[in-house]
Amino acid sequence: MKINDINSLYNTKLLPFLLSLEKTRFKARNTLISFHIIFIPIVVFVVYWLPSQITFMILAGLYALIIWGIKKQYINPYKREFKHKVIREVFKHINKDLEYFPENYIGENVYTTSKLFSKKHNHYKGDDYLTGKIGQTQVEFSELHTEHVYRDSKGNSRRVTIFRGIFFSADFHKFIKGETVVRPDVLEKNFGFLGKSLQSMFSGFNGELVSLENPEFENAFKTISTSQVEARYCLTPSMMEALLEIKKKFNCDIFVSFIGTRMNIALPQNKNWFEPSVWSRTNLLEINSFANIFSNIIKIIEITNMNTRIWTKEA
Amino acid sequence: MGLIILIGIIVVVFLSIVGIYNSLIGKKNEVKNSFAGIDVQLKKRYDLIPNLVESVKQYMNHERELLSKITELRSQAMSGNLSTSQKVDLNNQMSQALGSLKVAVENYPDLKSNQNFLNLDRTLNEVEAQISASRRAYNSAVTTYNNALEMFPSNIVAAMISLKQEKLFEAAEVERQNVDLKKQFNN
Repeated sequence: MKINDINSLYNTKLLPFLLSLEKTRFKARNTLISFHIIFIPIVVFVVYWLPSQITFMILAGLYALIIWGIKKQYINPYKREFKHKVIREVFKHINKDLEYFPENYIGENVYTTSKLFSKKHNHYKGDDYLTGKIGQTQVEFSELHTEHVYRDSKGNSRRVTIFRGIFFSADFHKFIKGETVVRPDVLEKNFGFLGKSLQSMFSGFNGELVSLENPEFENAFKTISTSQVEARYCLTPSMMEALLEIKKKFNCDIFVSFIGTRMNIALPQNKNWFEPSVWSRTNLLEINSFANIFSNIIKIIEITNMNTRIWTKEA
Repeated sequence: MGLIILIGIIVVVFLSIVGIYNSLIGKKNEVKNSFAGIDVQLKKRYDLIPNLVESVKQYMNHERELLSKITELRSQAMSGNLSTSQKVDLNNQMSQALGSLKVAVENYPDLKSNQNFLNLDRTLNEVEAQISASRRAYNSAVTTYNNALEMFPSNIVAAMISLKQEKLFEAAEVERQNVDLKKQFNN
């Protein structure tokens, strides 16, 4: 997929869609603007005359309620249409075999059984779900945002994000009996050999620490597995190189697990991808960035050699 | 007061020695365990041989020598009473012979599409991958053990109970040489 491809796609197919969406976008944007123009003077006025905690709470509640209403009525339909028309076209152009469901996301059971994040979540949402076969390998991935919300007795809540980013799950090309989890290594990076001994004390999770031969891999990741041999069966020298390459490509810490029939990879991201802005028309640069990250996700199958099916597990 | 501190120090030292001793024993046993693990996989490979030879015999008319060599190696390996170095040597020869067989199969398109052979081929690939993994696990266990023998403070305790270093599993000299494809084709 070359830049020129996306450029010509933008000009031929996407621009017409984007232009046709402008009306909806303006409606959403203008509603937001007019609401603020009306609401802010009211707030100033009310606060000046009745400054009390109750006033603040009522105003804050009112604000949140109206914004929620605007989102539901104007902003979300715009985003939905954008995804169904524009984003779908971009994805189809790069890979025709995957099906796109903008409002769906990876099932909670897939997330939980992957054991990538031990902290329990009580809020689970996501979007931009894709599923299908890349070559011989069944894949599914989406954006996910899992949180744990702590509520205290006074009714205050504190949100802690457990994972936010892209969650990728593929049918692994070998049969696995146990569980192997690869996580970013904080200790070894900072404390070297001492870190290793500290790690072996806190391996927690039901498994043993696995020391692998690739020094760059060992420095970047901490591997825990139910079996020393099976960990190496999954993490061959070429697989370790592949995971390092994926880490470099996405420029973030990655989490990988080999459990059940799957290889799961979590790529933390600090933004929600594939979203349009109501403030400006989505331009070529943004479309290119969407196309790039999508194409990088697809490449995971190629980099990890999932389509090599020479062992007993066929496609 | 001084006596209490002295007793405290002695207790701490004693507990540390116990901890280090136990850890050394654990590492030594892990080495034994992972070595046995390699054996298990190698046996699996030997078990596949008769079936493999049977299914390719009818197709591969020009490889009689290679096939009988493979069968011969297997009987030697199963005969028992072999020293470790003999075992290792036999296994290396077997790996080479199987490698030659794989190259030779390329000349028999009928065989390549035979379902029975394909299944065997997959199983063989799987066993080879498991052998690789168990060898790597063994090397890792040996490195951890040897490290403990040489590093402070466990080297003190290790010397007290006269523990010896273990050898890493290394590729045989023959395996290390680049595969001479022409030689394999002439086999």
